Amino acid sequence: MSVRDAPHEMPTPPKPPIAVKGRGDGLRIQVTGSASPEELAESLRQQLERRSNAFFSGASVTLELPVRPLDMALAATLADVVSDASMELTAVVSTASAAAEDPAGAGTGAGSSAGTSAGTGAGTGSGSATRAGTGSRAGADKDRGRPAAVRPPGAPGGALVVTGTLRSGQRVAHDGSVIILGDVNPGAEVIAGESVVVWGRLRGIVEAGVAEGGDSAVVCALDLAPTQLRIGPALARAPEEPDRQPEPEVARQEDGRIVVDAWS
Amino acid sequence: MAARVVTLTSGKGGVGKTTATANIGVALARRGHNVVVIDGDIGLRNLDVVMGLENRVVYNLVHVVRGAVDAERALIKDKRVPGLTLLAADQHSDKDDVTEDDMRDACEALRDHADYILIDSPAGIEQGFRNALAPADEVVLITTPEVSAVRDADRVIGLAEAAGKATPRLVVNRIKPSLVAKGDMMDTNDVFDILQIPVLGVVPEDESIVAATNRGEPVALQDSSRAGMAFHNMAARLDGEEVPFLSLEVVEEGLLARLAGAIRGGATHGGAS
Repeated sequence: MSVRDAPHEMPTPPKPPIAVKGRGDGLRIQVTGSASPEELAESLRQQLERRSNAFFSGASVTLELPVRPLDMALAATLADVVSDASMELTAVVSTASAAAEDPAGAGTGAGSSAGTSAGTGAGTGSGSATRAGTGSRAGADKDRGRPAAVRPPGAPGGALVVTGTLRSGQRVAHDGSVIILGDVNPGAEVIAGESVVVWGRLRGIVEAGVAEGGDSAVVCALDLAPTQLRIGPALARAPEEPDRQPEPEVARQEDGRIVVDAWS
Repeated sequence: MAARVVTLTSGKGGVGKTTATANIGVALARRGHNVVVIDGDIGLRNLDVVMGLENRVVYNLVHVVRGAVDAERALIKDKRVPGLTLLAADQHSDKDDVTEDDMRDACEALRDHADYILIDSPAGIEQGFRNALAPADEVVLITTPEVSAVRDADRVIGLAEAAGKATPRLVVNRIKPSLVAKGDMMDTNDVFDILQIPVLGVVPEDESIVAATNRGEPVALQDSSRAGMAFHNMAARLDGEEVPFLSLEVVEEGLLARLAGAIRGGATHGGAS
């Protein structure tokens, strides 16, 4: 198929289940059909290859999924394809109405417990606006749907999205992954069967990978400074570094120890 | 004049709720408002002591709640400040003798007689706190710049929001600029970093408060102390005025300290006050 004059919109019949649209501030990848993750990934890979990589290198990419709740495995697979093309998946948006966002306090499954208060707005008024990485999040906020998560691996399952800061004494527990759009203050607890993503400062207690086979769970935060962090069997405390500059980090478990890397 | 009911609470004890209630009450009354201050600390009452009115307490909140006397009759007028009245707590009952509905009813009975009803909440998060919180239109959260006080304050914000109250406004009490400058004390930004609620005011540590409390003369009766000024500013902000925050300068006794300050390039801490 000749691609020299390929327009931004892909005109292929039949319509692929995944579409890539250019926008002023980056790319938008829309999953429109239902196909297997492998097929979606392959279609996406082909479409990205046809574009001039140099032009889009480093561009911010938004992934739109029409599923409810969000399919983390699919997001992670597509995120890999995006990064192979020298781009970065910066936001995942669900276009289903009332998607994976749970009203705080209700759970998506039997394993969720209440104990969170209603969010005081999606954290946009708090200090998170000054942190690294929120440029793209602010962009995603303007979109339909809500920003959900970026790249946590893990088995497909409902993700609980909590908007607002978790205060001391509050506790969120959920079977699947938990996404906090806000801070987790000292004295607050997050317990997740799978991964935990904190789009804010994590300063409380977090237990991830509590479910069977949850050893591959990760914990990410814009400022990873929990009082206690547990992933599966591994347990650690954040080191005391009073003057450290907060930067996004991801923690995972390896041979019973917690390993922390920069989260880009 | 339907009153605004403002509950002052903290979680942690000893951070200055009672002093703040007394002084903000005085400041609001001096601005021309009719103010009722209610001591919510049943069993351990001390608002009347701090205001120097304990000798005049005849009826108290529990009498009102039990219907023994009308709310108005139980109010004690502060003769120094027209417009300011006190509803004292009872020392012989305890907090479980009053319910949230009782508190709401008492405030309803007073609503048409005042512009502001200030409720001094007890420390803790148990029944006394819930009682004080129940009738609140607004919550003022008092903390000191200490980790434990801030942790408790954070908890209280969560509880207040869960109770459906609007976001509390923060008072950071007993800031010592000299300790902040040395890095030994949290500054307002550190406190705000965790609590992330709007700041109503910042009160510097002020020795004159100690004597004032013992004498039963709230510092806001005069204009001379720094803490008093801070309380007056808070009253103005409650009234909706935009008052710039005090710049808390380090005022060190002693020549040596002043010289040391000059060498450091000026001993002023222009902190977010």
